[in-house]
Amino acid sequence: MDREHRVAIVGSQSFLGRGLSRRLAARDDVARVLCVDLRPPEEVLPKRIFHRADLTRPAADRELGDLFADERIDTVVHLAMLDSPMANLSYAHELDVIGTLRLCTALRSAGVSRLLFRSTTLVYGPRPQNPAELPESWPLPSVDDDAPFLRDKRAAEEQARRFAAEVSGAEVAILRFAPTVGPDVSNWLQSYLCLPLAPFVAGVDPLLQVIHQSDALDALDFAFREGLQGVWNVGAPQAVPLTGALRLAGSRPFPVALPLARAAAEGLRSLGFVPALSPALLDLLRYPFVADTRKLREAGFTARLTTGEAVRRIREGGEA
Amino acid sequence: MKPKRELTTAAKALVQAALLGSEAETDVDRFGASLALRRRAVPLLDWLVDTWFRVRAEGFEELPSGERLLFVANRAGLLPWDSLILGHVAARHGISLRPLLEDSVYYLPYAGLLANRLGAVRASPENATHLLEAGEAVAVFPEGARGYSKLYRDRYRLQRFGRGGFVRLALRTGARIVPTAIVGSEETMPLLGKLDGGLLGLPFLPVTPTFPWLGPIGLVPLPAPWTIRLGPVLRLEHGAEAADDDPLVLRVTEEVREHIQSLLADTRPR
Repeated sequence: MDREHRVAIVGSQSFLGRGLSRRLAARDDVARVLCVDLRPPEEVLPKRIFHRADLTRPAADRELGDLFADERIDTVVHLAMLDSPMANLSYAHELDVIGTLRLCTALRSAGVSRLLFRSTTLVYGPRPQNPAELPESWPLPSVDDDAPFLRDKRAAEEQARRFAAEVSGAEVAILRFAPTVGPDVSNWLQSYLCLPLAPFVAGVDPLLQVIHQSDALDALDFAFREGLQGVWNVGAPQAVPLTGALRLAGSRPFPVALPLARAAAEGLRSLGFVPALSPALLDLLRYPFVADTRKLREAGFTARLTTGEAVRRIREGGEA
Repeated sequence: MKPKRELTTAAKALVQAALLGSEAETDVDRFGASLALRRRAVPLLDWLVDTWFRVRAEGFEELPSGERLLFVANRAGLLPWDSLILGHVAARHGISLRPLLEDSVYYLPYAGLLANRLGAVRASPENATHLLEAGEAVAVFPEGARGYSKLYRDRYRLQRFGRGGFVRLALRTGARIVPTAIVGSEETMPLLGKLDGGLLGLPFLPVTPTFPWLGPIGLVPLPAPWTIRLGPVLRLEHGAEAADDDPLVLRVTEEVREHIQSLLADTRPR
């Protein structure tokens, strides 16, 4: 890359945001790292400035559009989205889907053409019809009985794809990350794998693919450096059975019959113990959504840790 | 006769895998088959083939080597015993054969999981293509649900062969079609009637001479002798573009079906 980049990272306090902003600030070809989040970064770095913004606020698009224009931003990395389902469905929708819409509007008004969008392999959905490895070209399902969490993930990515299709000269990379594990991330799968005793649906054992946080950060960095465009699956090689993953993470899995698991999920939700749980989310433990990572491998990036190794190091290799 | 100890160890490993899932040392391939579990199950599979079903295998020696092979077979019984036995017999002839199971069987609790760990793969064009390209032989059962839900009185009467997906697959990948007749499987789980299985998430609840009367023990297949007979290998010379030619695909599908039907007719139950 010959010119100096001016990059905005939206969701800069996420694990990937922290890591990427540090790496970018250390690079010679990056002149400005604009961190946008609800919380400021812990340390002050040269080239790095912070702006507090909330994507769920209706005026966020204008606010960020002006900011991007003032700062002459040329690349936006969008990392501000939910990692786990939440009970407040309307807030979740507002952040994931409408937040991405507002951000894309800000890019349009500021004339920013380059966008790196963090998506997830959850857009394929845990579905019985999924082939063993899902290629990027696999048509995304549009099913209404999916959990709202999954629907929002698809709709958010749809916003990024619309931006890519409608804005001339747009350079958009959509990175579909497998669920990320590691000591510095918190999401539904990390919490599940770290349970000392973990229930699984009796009689089934789908293959699970994850990516370790260190590989996820390297992949994001790679996508920025190489100027990737289009849709890319990002996941660890060699999926493992869910129960095997639990054992590798040091958990003890125990089987629960499906009707009982459904009832338990509903009970835990309505009693307020796990308000974000819904029976539809049980599909995440019943069906596979393993992505084919050949495209990214052929572009030159391979995750260093397999799924098994990543899960075994679920508590290791932190930032400190 | 195998030592009893080996059999119980193998059975224990399988039951454990079905009930409690995988061990920490996970060695599944990308389609979910576990080499370790397969290896441990060998004594039991050998015993099923040699002692329980007394399988007579015909035609495996004549198979061409170095070719992609697509076995096309008849199907009987809700539980995929036939795909398991066919896979093991092929393995003993040095062929790594991956049976494709349709969703209602692949997603049977426990049974589908075990079948998957032992080598079966969910039937889909993408999976089949990847397997053939990776050098594995593939077995398909194109009757689908019609195959295993036919009653005992219709045994060995081949049902309609879907929409010819396997012919398209053979045309696209250049695989040779191996007509396969499995005789004996209908007698091991004679389907006398069907009850509504919706509550259990099954396509139906089979009624056999032993099930549901004897409970889970009734699921043990009867020890009828089996014959697995392979017909002459078919080469489709139409080229990959022909896969989009619907009339041709349907015609070839019907031809293959007739091959297998006559193979079945020539192979009397022993």
